[in-house]
Amino acid sequence: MDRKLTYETKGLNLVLKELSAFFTGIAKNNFTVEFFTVFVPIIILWEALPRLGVVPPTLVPPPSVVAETFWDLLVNHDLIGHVGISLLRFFLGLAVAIVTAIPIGILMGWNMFLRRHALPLFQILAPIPSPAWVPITIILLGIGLPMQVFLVFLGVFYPVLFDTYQGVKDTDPRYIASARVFGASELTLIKRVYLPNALSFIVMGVKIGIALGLVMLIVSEMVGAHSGIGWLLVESKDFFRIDRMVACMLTLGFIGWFLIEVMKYIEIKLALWKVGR
Amino acid sequence: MKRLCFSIAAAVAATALIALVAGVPGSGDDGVIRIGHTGTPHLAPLFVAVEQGIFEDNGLRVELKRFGSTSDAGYALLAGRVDVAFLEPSRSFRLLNEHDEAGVKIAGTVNFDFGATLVVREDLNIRLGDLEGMTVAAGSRHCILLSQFKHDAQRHGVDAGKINFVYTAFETMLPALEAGQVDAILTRASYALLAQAEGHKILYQNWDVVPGDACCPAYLAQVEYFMLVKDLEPRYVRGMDAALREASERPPEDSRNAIMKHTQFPLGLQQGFPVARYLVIGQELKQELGDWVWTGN
Amino acid sequence: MIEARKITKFFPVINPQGLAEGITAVLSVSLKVEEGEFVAVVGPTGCGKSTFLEIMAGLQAPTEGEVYIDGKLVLEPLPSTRKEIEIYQRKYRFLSPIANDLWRDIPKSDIAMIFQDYAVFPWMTALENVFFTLTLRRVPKGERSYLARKYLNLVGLSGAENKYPSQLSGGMRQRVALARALSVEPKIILMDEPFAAVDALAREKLNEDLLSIWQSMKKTIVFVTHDINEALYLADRVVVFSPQPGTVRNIIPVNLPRPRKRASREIGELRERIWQIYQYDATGEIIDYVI
Repeated sequence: MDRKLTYETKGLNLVLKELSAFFTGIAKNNFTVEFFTVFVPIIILWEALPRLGVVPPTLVPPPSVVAETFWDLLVNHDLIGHVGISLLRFFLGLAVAIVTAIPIGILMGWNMFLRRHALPLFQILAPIPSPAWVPITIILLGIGLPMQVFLVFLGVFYPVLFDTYQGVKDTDPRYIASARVFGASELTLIKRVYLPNALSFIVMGVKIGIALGLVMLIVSEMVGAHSGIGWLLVESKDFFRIDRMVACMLTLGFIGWFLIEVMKYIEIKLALWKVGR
Repeated sequence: MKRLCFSIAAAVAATALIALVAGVPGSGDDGVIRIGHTGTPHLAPLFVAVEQGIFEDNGLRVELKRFGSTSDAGYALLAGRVDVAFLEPSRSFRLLNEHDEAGVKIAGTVNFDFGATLVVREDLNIRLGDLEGMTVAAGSRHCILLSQFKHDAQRHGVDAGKINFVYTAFETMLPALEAGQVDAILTRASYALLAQAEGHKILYQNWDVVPGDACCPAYLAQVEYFMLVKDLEPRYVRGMDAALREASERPPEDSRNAIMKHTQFPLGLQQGFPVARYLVIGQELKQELGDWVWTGN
Repeated sequence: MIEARKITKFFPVINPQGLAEGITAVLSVSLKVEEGEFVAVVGPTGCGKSTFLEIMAGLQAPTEGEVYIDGKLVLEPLPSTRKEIEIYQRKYRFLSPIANDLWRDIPKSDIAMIFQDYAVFPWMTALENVFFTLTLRRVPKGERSYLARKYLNLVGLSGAENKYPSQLSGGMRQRVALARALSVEPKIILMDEPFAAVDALAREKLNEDLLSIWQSMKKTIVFVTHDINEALYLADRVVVFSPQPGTVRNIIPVNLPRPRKRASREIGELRERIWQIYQYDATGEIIDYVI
């Protein structure tokens, strides 16, 4: 029934409707009474312990100080700009990874000949922990946007690739057979059978990829950048600003959490057909 | 009721976590002074004092803890995991600025002779005259090192006006040279020593520079490291002070051997350079630093 | 008209001892189905009747034999010598032999197939499932909706157009599959145990609806089932398969007028006859008489 509604709503109304559904979903799923039972005491203690001198406040800045610092970063230190440049690097890397990994994964899952040629290569490369690529990346690409984007790409690529491959490979042969009987070309099969079947796998891969990509973003900004949230983090460390470090960490945590929530929402939207199961 | 249980459990967990993060181990209770350093050749007096048993002679037992960067050593000092740490002036000021209530004090300095030095990139095989048209990094437009160099270049018949100078902090010069962004750097002898260790070549050096301008104020110019202490008993601080001063009086060869032993910094590279010396804080510096100086109270 | 000539299908397998051996799933089966005929294929589980049907549909290449639809060869047999195998593998390196084309849809109007389950795509609604075949047939966009609804109405699914298969019952899902098969306007419909996963009551209703569609639309139907009653109720001829390797054990004409009664004496007799063939094949004992 919902589907009928989305068909009929168009343009701005549709965007507004989806947005409100997204945020209501976030609120409902995350900010539960159970969450606050755990969250509120932690915040209270975090505030109280340094204030009472149980732990040194210079080493453990209480949340009120972190909030103040956060505001200061926002107003005086262009936090938005740093987050923006970080997100630019991140989304470029994510986009490049998704655009390359999904087609390669589909081709590997679709054709045995291609699979036998490509899969061993990726299986050897994938276990190399992405941060191990940092030195050689700096040598090859220098320091700058290409290097940061490549490192993010490395974090996202393999989970998306292998999940796509798995999803396509595991398509039930009877779906393929029933489409072939009707005369579907391989392109149609890929578009209408393999891809929808693998979609939930792909979203899962992207979710893992987002987590790993954020790690690589911070790694890349720590070693080779003069802006961005990762750079702000190491810079804060250099300046002995623990409160700023905590503010940066919480910002990063929020970004990661938000992106995962977006992916969850996309997953539900894409896999509407599975909801009834 | 159940909800309350969860709340209490969370609170206990949080307390444990925060206590763990900020856990402060007892400082030097067993009489061992823990010293944080970064293993640079500029800390010669420390290594000599360890090598030649000068700390023991002064009734001190020390334990060296090596850190990857001076900021790590700074955090260790703040957290009470070391009692003494050697940090360069800029980092020391940042730390003292941000954590003025933590009880960190400056108890001494390690100095290195000034020396205007020009280091060229390892792949360049040039003479002073060839510098015209090349890019050289310098501290600042009005730096005493620069004016000294320009003066000396003139004497050798080189037109310093034809050299492209870019101005940057000393700390960033070496990475810029490594990355090929500049062809040469005009720097202090202490940085030249590190640059030389990376394979770059010294083309010009003049030890007769008298510090004292806006870029390199006289009282701070030759300070490479501050000795920072936190919550250390006065007798230990005085002991450290005495031991390091004594170590600075030892012959340079002893220093070089000690450096090589502690930092694997080759002897050959050290030849032609003076060694770092520990100094008590002078009157002028004491005025400048004010409350940050350790006074024994 | 669809004709299978001496179809044999052999599967090489590696046994637990690591030795190669093989299973002959179908052995030299010949079958000719006339225009407008309703033929049921019955046999014990695992007798190769599904494999036979997939070979007829062109979804598996036979090891030996050919399938002709209206005198046209459907799929070449598998190679047998090593050299032939190499040539075959090189030829089909990028495209499987049962694939139609890489880029271009080649809609087939001669044949449609319905599977026991997994027949409709769960990621498409009932309407979209029918759209799928209509798009393959390059039906203009404007007509698709009208046509799709027409076929869904035909199988009694009006009102469930926008439901996903997961929201439909097993019987309704098979109706969607039937609507999709009808939407390609095929001459022949191959059905592989289509109602096996449907509960008994819904199955009877489906049987009747299938019969009425068959009678009104004049399709040729080959219907594989393991339910003898269903076969006898529906078919003009019942082909009985032997246990593995599958061969045609017997072909029993059902010359009874429609509508038939499931519990009628004639059907009972025929059922008894098929049952006894089964018994003999399974135990080797002669119960009463053997054909």
